[in-house]
Amino acid sequence: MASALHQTAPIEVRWGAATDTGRTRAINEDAFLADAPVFVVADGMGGHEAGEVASAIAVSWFEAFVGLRSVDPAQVRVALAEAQREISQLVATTERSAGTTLTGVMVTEIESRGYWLVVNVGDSRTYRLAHGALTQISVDHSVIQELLEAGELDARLASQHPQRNVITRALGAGDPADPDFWLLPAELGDRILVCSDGLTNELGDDRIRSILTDEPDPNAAAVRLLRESLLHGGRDNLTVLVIDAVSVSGDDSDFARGFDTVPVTFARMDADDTIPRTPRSRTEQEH
Amino acid sequence: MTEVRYQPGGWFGLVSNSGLVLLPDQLSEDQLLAVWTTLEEGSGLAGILDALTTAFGLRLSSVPSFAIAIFDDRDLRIAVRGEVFVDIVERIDGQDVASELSGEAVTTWTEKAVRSPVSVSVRIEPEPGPLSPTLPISQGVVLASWMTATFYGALDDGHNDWDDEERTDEPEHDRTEDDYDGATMTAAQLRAMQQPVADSRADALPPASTARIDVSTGESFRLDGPIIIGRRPQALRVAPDEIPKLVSVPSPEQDISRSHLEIRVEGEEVVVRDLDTVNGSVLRRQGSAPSQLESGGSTRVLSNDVIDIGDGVSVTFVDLP
Repeated sequence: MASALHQTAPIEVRWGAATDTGRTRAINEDAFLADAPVFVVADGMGGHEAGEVASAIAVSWFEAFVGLRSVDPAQVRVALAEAQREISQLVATTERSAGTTLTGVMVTEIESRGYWLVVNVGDSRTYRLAHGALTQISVDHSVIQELLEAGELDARLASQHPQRNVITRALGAGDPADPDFWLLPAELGDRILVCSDGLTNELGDDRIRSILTDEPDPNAAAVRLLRESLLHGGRDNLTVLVIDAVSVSGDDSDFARGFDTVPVTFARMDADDTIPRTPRSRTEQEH
Repeated sequence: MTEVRYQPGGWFGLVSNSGLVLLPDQLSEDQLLAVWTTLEEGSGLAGILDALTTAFGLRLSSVPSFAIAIFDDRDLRIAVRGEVFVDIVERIDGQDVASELSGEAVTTWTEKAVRSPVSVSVRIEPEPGPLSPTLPISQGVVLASWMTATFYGALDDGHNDWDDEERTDEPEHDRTEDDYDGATMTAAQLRAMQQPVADSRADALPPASTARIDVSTGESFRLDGPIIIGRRPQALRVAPDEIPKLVSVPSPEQDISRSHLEIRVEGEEVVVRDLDTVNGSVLRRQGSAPSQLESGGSTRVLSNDVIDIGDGVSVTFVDLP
């Protein structure tokens, strides 16, 4: 076992970050924090710079995690509750409507294994690129998402929907915060994308995936995503974080063991790679 | 389970298995030990307040500032006096709600009872800020400026103590102090000045749950919240109070799914669910033939039930309510 003084992080990361006000907005109401082991983006809303303040408050509650080996979900729970309280107080004292989304990923450790702790409130997004496939991890807290889940809206029409910008949960703004959490075993080679909707409203998943796949350097990937979104119109504030897992403790995935041992199931490795049992079930063996 | 951390500083931070107390350094060793003994005895908030008011001669103005957070009956009870601050996060109506309590501008002290605490911090700095106390402590007295207790698991399911150990019954504290002037009062009188903060729950507490699972790999886990067992378990889109404990088990044959079996405590019942696995799970119950768990469906389990999830790994349920 490693010495307590020289323990490596459960996930060693490299990262890049880029943010821009965009081409049409006057101020950047996005805020972000990108420093191991915490990577979060907050997209503020509310007039008279209230959104800018709200997103900055939300992110500030995560600064205490910078430099830790690993972040405990319970600490994140407390940070989110405190952020919700501080933003609500701001709303109460200034009588302005202010709120913010918050999503991102933190490094955590479970039974000596490196895990991604993903958190989400609102419609900013966290994605994971693994084995060439881009998967959206966070689930938007939005009217559109609720309609999609209820089967009342065709995904192709979502970008045209009049309520496409309405979110159902936020920090502050009188909404319930009610964050969602994910705990995902990290694998060597994982690339995480955390972004505000300024990116995803401009670029489709395929384009995002190909840029993330083409550009090995995380900072260059973040900058490319940002620039391409600006070329596409840049109609909103944009923030992009790209985080790469360069070493993962306890990662016994086929990927970590090297390509030569990857079985024929490589193509579906992000699905469950459990091997079906044959020929008899255990219940039959009992008799 | 409770985890306590502190930031080194100039006040006395007392941590026992029933609660924590922050007191200024002006206390003498005798006074400090009197409070510590009461805290260790598990005498509850009333006991600590009594010890404090007794140690300072029952003169209200001489009672020092303090912050106390202690399990008393089913609640976490908090009392704060003077310019000391308490940050509370609690679960209310399905939301994590943060609040701050302080004894500023209050003649006596401020009290609050918290039914479902997530965390509690006591600090002398007026600004909460995103600072995080860093040094761990399980029990004892330290010099601190800030202490945080974080609670894991289902505290509102009859757990009435930091560590679910047996608590001594709360002793009666009827003091009979007669010879005091108008400016002093007994602890009981002081308490009477406080507005009632919660219904008193005199009815017997349910015994602290010892329900657990024994995994054939040799590990045991208390059933104080959801658990997911598998080869590489994960949790997807869960609420803050439903974050499961993830237990990974070896499966050299890749017979066990990444997330295979979910175990939940639902009130007095323990329920398992096979997470739509490739190879399924088998329930073995004494007196019954082994049966395959319905894929994706919930099944209530009883004490001594064993669930076989494959590759020679099984889970035994022990001491269920």
